[in-house]
Amino acid sequence: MAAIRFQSTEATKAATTTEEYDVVIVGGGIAGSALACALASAKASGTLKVALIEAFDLSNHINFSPRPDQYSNRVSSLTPKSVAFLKKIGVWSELDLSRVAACEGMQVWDGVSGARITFDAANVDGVQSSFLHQVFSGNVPTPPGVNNNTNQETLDSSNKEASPLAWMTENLHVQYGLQKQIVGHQARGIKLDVFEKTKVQGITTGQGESAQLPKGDWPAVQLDNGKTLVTRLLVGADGVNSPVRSFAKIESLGWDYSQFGLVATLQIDPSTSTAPGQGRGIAWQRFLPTGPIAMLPLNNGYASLVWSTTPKIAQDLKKLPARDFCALVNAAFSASPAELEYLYKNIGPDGQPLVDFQKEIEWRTGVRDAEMSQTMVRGSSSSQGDDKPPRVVDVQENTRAPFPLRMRNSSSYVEDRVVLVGDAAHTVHPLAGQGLNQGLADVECLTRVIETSLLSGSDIGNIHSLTPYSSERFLPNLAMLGTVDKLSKLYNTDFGPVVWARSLGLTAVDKMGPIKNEIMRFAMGLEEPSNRT
Amino acid sequence: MASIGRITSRITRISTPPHLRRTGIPQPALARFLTTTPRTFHSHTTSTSSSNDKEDAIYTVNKDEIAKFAAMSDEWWAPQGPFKMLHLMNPPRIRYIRNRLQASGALSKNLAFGAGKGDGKEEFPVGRFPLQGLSILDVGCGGGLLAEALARLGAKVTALDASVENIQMARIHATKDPLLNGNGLSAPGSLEYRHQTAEQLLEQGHQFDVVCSMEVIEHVENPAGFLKVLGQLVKPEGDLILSTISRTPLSYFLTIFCAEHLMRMVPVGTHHWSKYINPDELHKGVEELSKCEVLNIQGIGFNPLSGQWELTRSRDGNGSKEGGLLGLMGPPLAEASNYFLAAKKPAAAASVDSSSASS
Repeated sequence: MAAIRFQSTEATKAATTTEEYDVVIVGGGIAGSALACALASAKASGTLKVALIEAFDLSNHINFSPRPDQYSNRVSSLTPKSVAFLKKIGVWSELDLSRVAACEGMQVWDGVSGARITFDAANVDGVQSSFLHQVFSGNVPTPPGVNNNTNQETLDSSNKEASPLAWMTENLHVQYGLQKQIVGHQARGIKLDVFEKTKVQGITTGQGESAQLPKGDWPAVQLDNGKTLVTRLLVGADGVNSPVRSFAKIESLGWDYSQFGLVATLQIDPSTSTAPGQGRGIAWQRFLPTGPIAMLPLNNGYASLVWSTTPKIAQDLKKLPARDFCALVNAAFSASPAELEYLYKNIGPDGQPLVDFQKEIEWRTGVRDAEMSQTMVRGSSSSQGDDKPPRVVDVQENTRAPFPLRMRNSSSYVEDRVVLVGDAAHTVHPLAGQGLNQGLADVECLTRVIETSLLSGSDIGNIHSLTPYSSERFLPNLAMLGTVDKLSKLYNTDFGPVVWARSLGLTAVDKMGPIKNEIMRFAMGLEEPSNRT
Repeated sequence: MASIGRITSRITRISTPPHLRRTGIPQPALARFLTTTPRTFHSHTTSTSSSNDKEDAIYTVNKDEIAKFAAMSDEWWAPQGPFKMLHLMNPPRIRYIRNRLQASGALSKNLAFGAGKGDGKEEFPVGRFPLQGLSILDVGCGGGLLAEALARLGAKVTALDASVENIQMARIHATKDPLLNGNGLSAPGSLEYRHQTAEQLLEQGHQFDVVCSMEVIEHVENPAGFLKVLGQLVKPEGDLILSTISRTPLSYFLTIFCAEHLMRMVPVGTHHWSKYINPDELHKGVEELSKCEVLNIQGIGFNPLSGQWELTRSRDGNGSKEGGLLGLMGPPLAEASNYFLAAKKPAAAASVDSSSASS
């Protein structure tokens, strides 16, 4: 009897700190928060009891009130598919559309050969789903949010007009929208508990310490606030080093590139910008032997930089004075790789330039302009006056940040009662800007799979309930990872035959409408590489 | 493919309760049914029974079958175990049941009926507990795969199995889900397992809004008696939903040659091809013995490409709107292996007497 009494006090104690959930999401990043929102906004899954655990303070996100002349350095390009999903879960309408830049075109060129490919949203017939749509719709781009068909199936809302290729906005901004929605759902009585500033201390399974709790195979998540959450389904949205993935003993395969990415917020010379107005812009990307450099349009004369390069150069770039940094960015979009090499070598150990970068660039400008105009004649079919990237005049303080580039894919996205989404499942080279979009596509798919399981009375944590998610997402993600990885390898060389072949390819693809369309459709998230039956 | 049966009775035979003797089918009617169908439903053939008890012998048992499935009871819920194909079959089963209950008007009117997403894939009333308020009997519940799902959808489920091991396994498993045992997360559904036969339940005077018996009839000793009991367990205007396997070369190939021998997905000896029942035979049996009007017969097949079971097109042409490769397939091929049958009991209980009297 004594033993039993002892046990029961233990049980009572455990019961005060242990709670049952249907879904516990570890990681309050964009993927995790979007999943919480999506579950709350769907009819059946809105009745689930969900917990979202985030180690950091989410109030930063909800208090997001930026100045119009300041942009955070982490910017994502959202594909039309991602935007449609954000509209569906009510997040898009929370956003400040003056901070969302529509990207109407994309210029990609080879730094070594100058071969170029131009993408223009108006030319992508995938945006209009059918021939009839094309016939009956004018190609007038509408700013996002005007056509807010939240209840429509994802692509329907973008069917009616030529949609921009992508929308650029800060990750923080998307987070803000997500947190607003989460608070809104909580206010209307959805069982969605957010544990912020809370760390996961451990995850166990089959614990059964408390007599009141379901035993068996439900994972138990121990938090550092003393609580234990026992859950039917555990979602790992906890990033590239996912503890949830380790718990589930899912292997992560991949490699680190010997590359770093450097992000920064740039201010551009309005007179050189092709996007003087709000919400219209061109994304620029140039492949250099050290990695691709990309400038994504933001509003109000700002742009976001993602520069993949060697770890050494990335660290040097961070330390350079603003003026020289801008000069180097301008050079990276125009100067030859050899000239850039020279400039990189003239960054001193203290981060100060050994030569005057500005002068060096100006001195070479004449030569470069002549070269460029020749390139245009040879390589580009539709320059449309968008052939020169805007000139960078300033970089916002404290926005330069380097980070290592990696490629990872988990050997599986699901285990019994465990599912991985976003970077926990896969990490991609940022050159195509697809990481966040892949994560949102994961969330969209998982929400649909959970909804279907609920409607068929299945246990949503059961491996059979989760398998459709894995089979729908694994191959597209792998294909995207593979494509981006090949691209990055293809372009990280100045070896003659490879350069010649890839230039021929780029120029040829630029001339071939249908193939270009397919590439664009894939990049815009309109089509998965493996068509589902 | 994996019609792994759930057995209904452990006892070899029981007597018809008195109230059934009065309203039961007179011998000539049953005899005519048995002789006019291409394949007679198994009648009682054990040597211990005299021809006199034939009429009373409503038992649905096969001791060997019970022992066979009891031995596997631990594996009912192993996701990759011998019942994997049944696990995969569960969602389309539920879809079929929901579709048929919606078509027959059994789903509560006060629940929100969604217009669907417009892609034809969602034809159910939306909401998480669409079966709320319905009493459902699952005869031959095995480990409770179907019963748990029905209870999660809000139904008041009673589930029977002839194997005590199965029932124990099912009970243990149900305790793992707070949605099923009433405490914890709130849910309108309930789930009760009984180690009983359908006949015993009938004796106690129970009737249900919906009676389901999935992949069971091909394992019972006396399908005719089984159908009769099932029919009597349905409330007037209630629904009867069955699934089984056609006796065709295709079903032999799929369920025995492939599933048992080639792929070893289910243990050898799970199925007996000679006990399979063709849709027309079951149709006739349900109408004449269960006294229910057959409303729908629809096939289901495993699509190895998608790794999922898919409903085929049904006879009335209103078949699967779910898409999938097999959704394009219509009868007779569609029903050549596993199939469902849905029937509705007429409002007047008197119809049982009138139809038998007229014969």
